Amino acid sequence: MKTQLKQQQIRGLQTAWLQSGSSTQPILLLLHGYPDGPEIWDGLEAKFNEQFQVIRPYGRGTSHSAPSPDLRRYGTHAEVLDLFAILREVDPKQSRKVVVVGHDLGGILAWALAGQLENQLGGLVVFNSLSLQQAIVKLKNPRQLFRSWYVGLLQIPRMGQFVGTFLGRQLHHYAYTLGGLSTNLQPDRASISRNATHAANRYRALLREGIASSRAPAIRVKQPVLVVCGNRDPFVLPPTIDEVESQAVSPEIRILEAGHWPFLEQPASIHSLLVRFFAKLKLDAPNRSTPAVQTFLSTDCYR
Amino acid sequence: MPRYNPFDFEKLAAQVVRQRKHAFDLNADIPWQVPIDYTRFLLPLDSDAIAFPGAAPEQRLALSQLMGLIINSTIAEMESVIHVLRHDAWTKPLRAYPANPEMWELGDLFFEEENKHALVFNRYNRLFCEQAGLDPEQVDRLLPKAFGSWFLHAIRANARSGGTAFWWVVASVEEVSLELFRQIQKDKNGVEPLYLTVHKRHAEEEARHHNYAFLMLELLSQKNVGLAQRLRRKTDLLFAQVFSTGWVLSELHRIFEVKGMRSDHPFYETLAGCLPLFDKVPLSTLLQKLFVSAPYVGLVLNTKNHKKTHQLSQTLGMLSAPFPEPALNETLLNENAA
Repeated sequence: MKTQLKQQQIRGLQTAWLQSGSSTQPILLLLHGYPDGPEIWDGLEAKFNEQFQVIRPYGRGTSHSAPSPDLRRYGTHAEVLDLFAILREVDPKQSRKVVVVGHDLGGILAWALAGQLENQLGGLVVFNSLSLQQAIVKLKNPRQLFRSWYVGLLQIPRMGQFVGTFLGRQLHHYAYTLGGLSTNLQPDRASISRNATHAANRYRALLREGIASSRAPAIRVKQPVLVVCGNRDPFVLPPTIDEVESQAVSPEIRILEAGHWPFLEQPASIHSLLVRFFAKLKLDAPNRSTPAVQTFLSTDCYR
Repeated sequence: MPRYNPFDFEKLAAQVVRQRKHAFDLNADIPWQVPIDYTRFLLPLDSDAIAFPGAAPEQRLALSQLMGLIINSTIAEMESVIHVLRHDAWTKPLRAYPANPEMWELGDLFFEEENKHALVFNRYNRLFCEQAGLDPEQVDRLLPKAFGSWFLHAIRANARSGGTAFWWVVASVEEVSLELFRQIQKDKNGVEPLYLTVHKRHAEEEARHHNYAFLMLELLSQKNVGLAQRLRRKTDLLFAQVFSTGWVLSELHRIFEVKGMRSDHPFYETLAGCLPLFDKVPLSTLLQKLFVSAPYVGLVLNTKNHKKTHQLSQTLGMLSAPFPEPALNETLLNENAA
């Protein structure tokens, strides 16, 4: 199935995504983490591009999606608005269900988007990640704080650019190795250094936004949620059941013998889990766009 | 790759299916209507009749039957008592360190099956007493009790503070019950048939689910804990050994209550007649027997007999009590005894 690179100006910035599959199928929205690009999902895309129309956006500041001088454009509110715009472009009538899949920082975005999609959401899959509120609470745990040392480092202005320009390849190779990926499974080095420069801004924006909204009530996702974690993940502690249940009505939690990228380390297990999970989703056409989404879109204060 | 992998959800799912498919029915799959032959041994004994050297044939029979009832009761108590600890030792840690849904399913099945086993063993003991003309409540005074014991309090306190002593005890009990059946099986034509059937059914289910305690131990060993708790966790097996050994020894002491019952039934009179034989055994020999050579008792007391538990404890670097190397005596039925 042919993959197309789509690009569009969204709220003043060039925004790109990879698109494959039929426009009559439900949408599978794959959100990558740091320091990856959407190519990290090649394996899943190949498995599910007949069942879904697969959309893989480039995170703000990575590769084909232009960076922004405004840090707020890297936060979840702004990125969710960008994703709504992409979804409107792909499915103008909003007549198809969306299954959101996120990994790492993409997982934070996936939780935020799932909370806003309401009945257009078919299901949510999160790999080795937490919602923004969970992540901020988790940072109070010294063990998680120790694992997230780099988040602190990247709060220094221009540190992301410095790391991306001078140390990117080595550091990211180290991160992938630490995260449990053998060299043959690690993504192409050229794409890593391209992605790294501005993507670090996401950490800066998310920390600010997380602290500001840490007391905000969580939106509980009513649709099926699958949370997958590697038991050897050196960056993210697995969430407890209470933590996940505070965000989702009926979550399924899976712990695999893997590191930070379980879908690359254990593709067969992940495939079988996803096949089973997708089979239980109700992916028939949703009602037209919901009031909550319209309200959210009308508060477009991040332009 | 760990020996017991709690993250291999496909294998665990297959185990769930297997356990559900082969589970026995408490009422239908055991021939309770068959009368108990109380002229037969329940357990084959060694030549020293555990710790009663020189026992006469009728004394060996009574000791074998009492030991059979004690073993049933010990397993039943241990398998009932785990329900009291279910929340602290199972639900709480699994919620704090999430596991695959199959671990939950297997756990539910495990507790369900253990409850059934406890019912089976208690039912056998009651039937035995009724058919042998013994008052079940009186016999109960000779049998071990875990509810309300300091052993239970200690294990519960350990579980509440995040320890794994409970699962070390469970792992040992599972191994003991399987090994026990192997020993009964050697004299399957001589032991009481219903007793054999009960233990056979029990062993079959134990064989299917005995790995659950090991899966929990593997899972909990991977839980991220602070340094203090990590160090303390190393002592969980030792803690379990100290309290379970103490409990078993103190509960075995109940046999001396038979002195006060000797006039109530010939069974008690025969047993009371064995006590002088026990008194003749020097303390050092007695300890050597109980921890090294006595069948059943040595099997329970000396955790070096629990090979899988011992292996896992070494893999996880647990501190363990320095038990002597076991050398269990051969067991024989009465007619073959020396």
